[in-house]
Amino acid sequence: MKKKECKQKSPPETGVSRRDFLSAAGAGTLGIAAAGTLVGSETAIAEPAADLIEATQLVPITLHINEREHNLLVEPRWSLLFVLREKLGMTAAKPGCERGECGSCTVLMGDQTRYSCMTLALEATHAEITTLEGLMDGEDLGPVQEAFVECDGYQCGYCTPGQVVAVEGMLRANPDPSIEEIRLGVSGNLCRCGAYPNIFKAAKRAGEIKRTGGES
Amino acid sequence: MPGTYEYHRPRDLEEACRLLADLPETQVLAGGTDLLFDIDADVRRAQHVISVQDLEDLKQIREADGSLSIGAGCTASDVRASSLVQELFPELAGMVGDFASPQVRNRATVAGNICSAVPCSDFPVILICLGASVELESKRGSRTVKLVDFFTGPRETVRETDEIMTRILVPERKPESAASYLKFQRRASNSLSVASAGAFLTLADGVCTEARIVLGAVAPIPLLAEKASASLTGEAMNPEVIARAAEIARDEAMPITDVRGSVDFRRELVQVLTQRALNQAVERIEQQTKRAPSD
Repeated sequence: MKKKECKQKSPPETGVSRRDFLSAAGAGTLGIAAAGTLVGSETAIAEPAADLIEATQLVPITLHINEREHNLLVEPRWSLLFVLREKLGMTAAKPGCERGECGSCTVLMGDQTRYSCMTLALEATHAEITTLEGLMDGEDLGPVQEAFVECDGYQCGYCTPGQVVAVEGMLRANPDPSIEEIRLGVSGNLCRCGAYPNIFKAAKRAGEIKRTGGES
Repeated sequence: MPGTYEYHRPRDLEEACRLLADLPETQVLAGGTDLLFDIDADVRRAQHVISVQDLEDLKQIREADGSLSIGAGCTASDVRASSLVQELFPELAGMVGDFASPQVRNRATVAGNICSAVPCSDFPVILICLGASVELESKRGSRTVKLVDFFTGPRETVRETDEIMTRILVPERKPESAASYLKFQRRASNSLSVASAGAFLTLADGVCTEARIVLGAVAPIPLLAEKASASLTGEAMNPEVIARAAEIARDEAMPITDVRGSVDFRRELVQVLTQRALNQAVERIEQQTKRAPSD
């Protein structure tokens, strides 16, 4: 991976120089961590009235992930995937292709599935984000995870977090999909082991568990 | 170094236009599903990225002056879910499922698919069929360009670097008109077109008064097959007329051989897809006009 990680620089000394950004980014709930970055010089930036963020400048943002608020500093080019894994230690979403083709980085924003590798972290502040971690039922597996175990819906397991989140997203829109609808619904997630038949069965079973609480 | 761009988030269109006019090497960021990776791969260069995230006006889908207006910030999923699009242009709402993967549809915008100007793009083909125009805004003013005149080459368009696309306008059509879009891809979904064809027809008592056949992935730009289209005008639609138009479209295509298909295979696909798209458009018109009198 890790083109993006290699590019990463240590936090620059100067912080955010336009206070304006705070309100626009909806980051009104900034924690102390960010406060120290607000002392940058207003004069350092040329005139554009729009919110401008320099390439390597760290910006305070608030992300809503799995029903918790996270205040943190990000560079504008950091992907949500990078921030989840490297800054927040939430490693369920996986880097695969890192160009929006394989689906191993899938998360939910609201009820919509999204590739976190192609979403900038600072453009993800408006939505409730759910990662695989958020689909757990306390210490127990959630219904979709349970179905994957029951149906053996994986081989190596690397794509599984993305597959599970994609199935969750599909079932929120279509609680009782046909196999054909499942095939299309999770078409944004590749499995190099080729465990598709069982993934599709697991998706079908997950729908049943969600609808009936696992009775059928 | 790729990825080291400055990020701007203008709060209104005026600010966006000013930034585009004043700053060097700008790129407009909407969904970013093409742009962010093009920047990383150095396919497109950017010193300044202008995000449309806060431009709420660009997220509207509404009727305006006899047209359907799709804001440039609307995602493919927005278009598919819009009851207005489903009512006015079911063929447009219906083809969205053929575009990319669910995750990309939830993020990528229709305007971005147009502005990227990749020859195998899906939306330009059906939108040219439907006679769509796009609105471009800059500090210098606003202009409307017919989508058929928008593309100048692979990844090249008439959009100037200081212009931002604001909306796509699709003229409303009568029940005697319909469009169809078909693509051939290497798997059932989430795949690029090997070739695609769109057809738009207006019929009066079974006679064609207006026709547009548009081909994707078989030319440097989404190609309006002018001769094939012209061969239909004034003709009563029957299998022979449709087959002839499909044959002409095959000759008009200018495909290349690449990893997805050879020149010969693509020509064959053009003929088959054009024929099927025309048949489907005729069927749709028959259904629409059958339903209309009872309203």
